[in-house]
Amino acid sequence: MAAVVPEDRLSGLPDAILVSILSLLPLDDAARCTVLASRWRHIFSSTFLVDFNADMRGCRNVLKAVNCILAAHPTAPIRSFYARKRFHSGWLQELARRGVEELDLDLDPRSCTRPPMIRPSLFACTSLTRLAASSCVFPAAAKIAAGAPQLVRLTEIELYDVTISDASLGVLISHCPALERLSMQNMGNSGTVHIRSQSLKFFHSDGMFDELFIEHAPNLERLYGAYMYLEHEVWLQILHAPKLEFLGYLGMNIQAIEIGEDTILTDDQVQVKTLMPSLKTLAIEVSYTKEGYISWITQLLELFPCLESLYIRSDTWSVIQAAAPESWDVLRYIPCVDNHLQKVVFEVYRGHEWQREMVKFLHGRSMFLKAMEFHCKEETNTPGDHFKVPSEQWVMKQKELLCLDSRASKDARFLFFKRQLVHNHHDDACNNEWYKRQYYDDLYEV
Amino acid sequence: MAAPESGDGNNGAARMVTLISSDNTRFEVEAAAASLSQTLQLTILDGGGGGGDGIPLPNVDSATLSKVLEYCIKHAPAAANGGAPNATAVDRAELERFDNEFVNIDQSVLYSLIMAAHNLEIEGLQSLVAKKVADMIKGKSPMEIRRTLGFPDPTPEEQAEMNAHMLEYGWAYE
Repeated sequence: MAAVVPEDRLSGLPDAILVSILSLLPLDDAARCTVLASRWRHIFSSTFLVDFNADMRGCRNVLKAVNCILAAHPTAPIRSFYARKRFHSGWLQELARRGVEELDLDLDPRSCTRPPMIRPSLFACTSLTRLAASSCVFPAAAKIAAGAPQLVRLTEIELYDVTISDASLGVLISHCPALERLSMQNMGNSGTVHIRSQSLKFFHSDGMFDELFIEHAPNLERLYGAYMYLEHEVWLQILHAPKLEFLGYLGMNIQAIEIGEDTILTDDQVQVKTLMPSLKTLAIEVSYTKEGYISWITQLLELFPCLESLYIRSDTWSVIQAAAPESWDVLRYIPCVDNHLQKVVFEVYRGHEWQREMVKFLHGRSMFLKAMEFHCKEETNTPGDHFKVPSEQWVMKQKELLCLDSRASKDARFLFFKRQLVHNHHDDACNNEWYKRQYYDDLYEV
Repeated sequence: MAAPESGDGNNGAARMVTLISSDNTRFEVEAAAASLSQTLQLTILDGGGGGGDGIPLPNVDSATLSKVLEYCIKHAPAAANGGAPNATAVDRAELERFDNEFVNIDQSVLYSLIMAAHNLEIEGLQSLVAKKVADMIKGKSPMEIRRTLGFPDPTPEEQAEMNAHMLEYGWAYE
């Protein structure tokens, strides 16, 4: 409405200033201001509703506030929607109508008697490119209509503490033909998880499965289960993932590792036929107290003939236990160790004898080794002393004990770091620019 | 942020520049203080504003400019050492106290300041005054906001429109 009387001074301010003022207010306060002038309404819907932040702390009734805002701006498009703690499933239809592209539902299991439920109308949001959901329940597969639309633009799904059945996950994935990244964290034990996706490239999880079955994933590059090696005995089967480059963490607690149709590695059965030549990086946990750990490692390495990088983790917190009496006197040919391995990383190097023997085996055999990293941590029996940095003398001594002169690759470099590798190195840290820049900052200079 | 000694051999004594308000009043200030304005910074780096020249500011009157410069002079030392990572807590508390008092002003002055901070692109001052206005709005009903911000009384037409919206926003007045 154009007023003929001289406008108040505030309304005479440029849009940029009004936006900067409104943006300092919680969404409900800002929305309330819009009754003052039609120009404010326009600014509000064109700036604040585009990226709708429904996290209104201090607002007594968030659900009502969001409903009112939506009703007052019936045609405003919403590109992204962020809900924290409170979300009404009915909004999904409304958001779908407004072309929502990013949906972040950070719900709170404690705010309701039962965890909030996502409705099947999620599939109406056909413009979605990214979905993040936490602390909620995904609809049962049977509730999702067979003819539900495909989410053709959705490339990224992040689930955190979400209850979702294997069947529902299957329906979700099958409705996302462009899905590239799937992350499942803190899901409790997810039971069986079955992956069939033509487009998936990255699958990240904490690894708490009974069974992880990669049935058909022709474009999968990274398969990461941070704690897949813990004592819950995952059955891991990779039937078809011809582009897989990264796999971890594997450990002896894994009940079975199956590759293709005819390779299987279990406690009492070893059959190696189908190999995985695509794999470049493997991350393992070494259960050095278990009998047979060395033959487990060497058999595992045989499955990946072109492996270039090997990350080795071992129990980091408890004090040293006696290693199983095993020997690295392995004479047989292991293709990746002899001909491909370029990088070996001991994520926590404490100078244990089993570690030293493993180092000597690897550098003595790997003709193409370029770098071996030791992320050092000194053995200590004093609780609270876990972050003590080993002395330079200790590192010098280790270098001696490791017989580095007997290495097969004369070009190999041996790098000693003043702290252990961060736990989330493979998760997100390794893509972080700051992390990459400071990675070599804490090298020993000896 | 431009340090005072950057530029053209005026080492030693701090370099001064002259600013001319819309009503032709001349203000002589240290270049470092005036450089808090992104708009002025480039001119000053180019060596402008020195000697008898002066930089004309046709959009800012002398009352507002003196207020703006009061802010700049107070904030220049902290800005010069990169947001003052090593400023003491006392220094920071002193700046905060200054800021609070600084915006405790008549509304007409506040609006002139908003415009000046915007035109001169003085980041800190922009957010300081925006925050002041936001604080004036926070938690108030639309009628209270109208009064606080000095909107003219609504025309019958506007009143009807407002009533319609107030219905929709019923939640806001609980």
